[in-house]
Amino acid sequence: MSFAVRAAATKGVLLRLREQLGFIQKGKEILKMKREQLAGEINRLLTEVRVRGELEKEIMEAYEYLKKAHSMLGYQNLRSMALTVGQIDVSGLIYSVMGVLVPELRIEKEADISNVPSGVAYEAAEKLSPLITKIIKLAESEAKIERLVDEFMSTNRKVNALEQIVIPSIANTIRYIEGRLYEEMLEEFIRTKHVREAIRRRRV
Amino acid sequence: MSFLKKIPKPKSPETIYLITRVHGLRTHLFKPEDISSLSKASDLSVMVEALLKGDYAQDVSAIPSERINAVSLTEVFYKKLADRFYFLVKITKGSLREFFEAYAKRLEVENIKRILRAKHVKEIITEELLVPIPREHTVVNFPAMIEAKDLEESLGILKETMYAPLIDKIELYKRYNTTLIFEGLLDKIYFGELWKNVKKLSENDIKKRIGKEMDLKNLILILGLKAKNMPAELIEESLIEEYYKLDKKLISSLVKERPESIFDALLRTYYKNYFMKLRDEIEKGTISEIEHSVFNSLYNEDLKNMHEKPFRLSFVISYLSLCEFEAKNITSIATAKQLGLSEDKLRSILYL
Repeated sequence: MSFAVRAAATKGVLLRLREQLGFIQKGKEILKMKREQLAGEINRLLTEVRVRGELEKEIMEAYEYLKKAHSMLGYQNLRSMALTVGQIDVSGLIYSVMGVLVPELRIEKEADISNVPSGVAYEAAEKLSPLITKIIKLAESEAKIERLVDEFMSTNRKVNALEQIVIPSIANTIRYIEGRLYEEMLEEFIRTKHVREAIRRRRV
Repeated sequence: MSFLKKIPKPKSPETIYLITRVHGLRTHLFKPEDISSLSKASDLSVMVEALLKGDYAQDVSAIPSERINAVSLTEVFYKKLADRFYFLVKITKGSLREFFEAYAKRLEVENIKRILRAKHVKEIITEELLVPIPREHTVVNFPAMIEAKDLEESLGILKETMYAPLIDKIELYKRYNTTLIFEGLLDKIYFGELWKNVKKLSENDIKKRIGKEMDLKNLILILGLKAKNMPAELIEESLIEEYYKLDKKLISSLVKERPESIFDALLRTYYKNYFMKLRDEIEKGTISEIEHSVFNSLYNEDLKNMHEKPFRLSFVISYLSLCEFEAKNITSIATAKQLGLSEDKLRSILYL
């Protein structure tokens, strides 16, 4: 409560502190709203990330096809076949969710596997190719969640700091100054009374 | 001694010499039971131990122990395959030599395909990714093709070789943006040349073996490209133009066949026995299983042929084919051991 002790107990300070308290409370409400929005967005993204387990299973299945193709063709041949897969085009954008910059990945062109000459390599590519799209989408959601959670934690800390420390501290200071001012006013009143009594007695 | 009556009159001392040498060379090949026991090896090191006792011993022992892996072993297996192919070229002359030269060009074709695929995506390719072919047996300048800055320059190097028609397909390649155009044409050129040499030998068994391989490759290619919904023009462009028991009309009708009726159409061809049990695979379009099943039948026919016709030239063709199957099998085993593929899955991809 050092803040309260240090503050000068004047009406000017009291007015400034009341203004400050109002402003901080408004800020706290906005931060709370931001926190709710972030929580909503995180929840929405979490449903997208829940496919991860299923996706991992699909990847393991696809790897079995890849292992089969690798074993049948050998490394040199499979690598050569892999070169016939058309490259996937992905573009990245950055946009803002409640002031947090998050990435968005857009798949401009899917991988073209129609040129893969061998049957077994084609089947492996057919299994793996759609998974690449899913993996990119999952990576995007995870990156968004990471950034939003960071911001959520920071907002939460700010709200807590305002609620638990800053606002009570200012409120205490206001109460202290109000008390001091009231005491000063009483002192002044009593002093005035004494002075008036002394003047009256002198006249008598 | 009735089998002695079946021995045909040898055509020339060279043929007798060749067949006798191949009888000896054949003993160096892994038998199906050897492949089976190799597939049971607990890991790659156990397989390497087994390889150190056979034909691969010298090359395998030359690999530093820290470099022993499926990739370096595959290099050795295909080097041995090339040596086996070109050994027959060395010990023959005349039309037989020309035939073996034409046959061995499948390794050259494979290398050209690999280089073109890399050039297509502007990827760097090194000679380690190619089948090692002795310089004296190829007219293709592979190092120059690798060094070429793009696909067109790479194709330009083939100008003076039998693969020159590839250069004329650049426009078609640009239109469809696929190397399948070149791969189809390379097979067409290869089998065209081989077929010419087969005809010179006037041996029906050889014609039958090569003809079957050619026709079956065409049928599998049609099934594969149809499964990918490729346009009919591109499918026809990719096919080998020589036929044994198929003809242009039949091929065209198969290309235009609806996916649901292609199985029945295949049963009306000379090759119905190869596809009879593959209805599900054909309907699902699982080409790898169709391809494996068909070539496994060819493998077994080659084994049978070696027992039944030990004094014919087709014995030599079966030997060459078995060399290739052996390279594929041991590559599969080495890679599967490295990747930890289960024994059941490994056996399903082997030619046994």
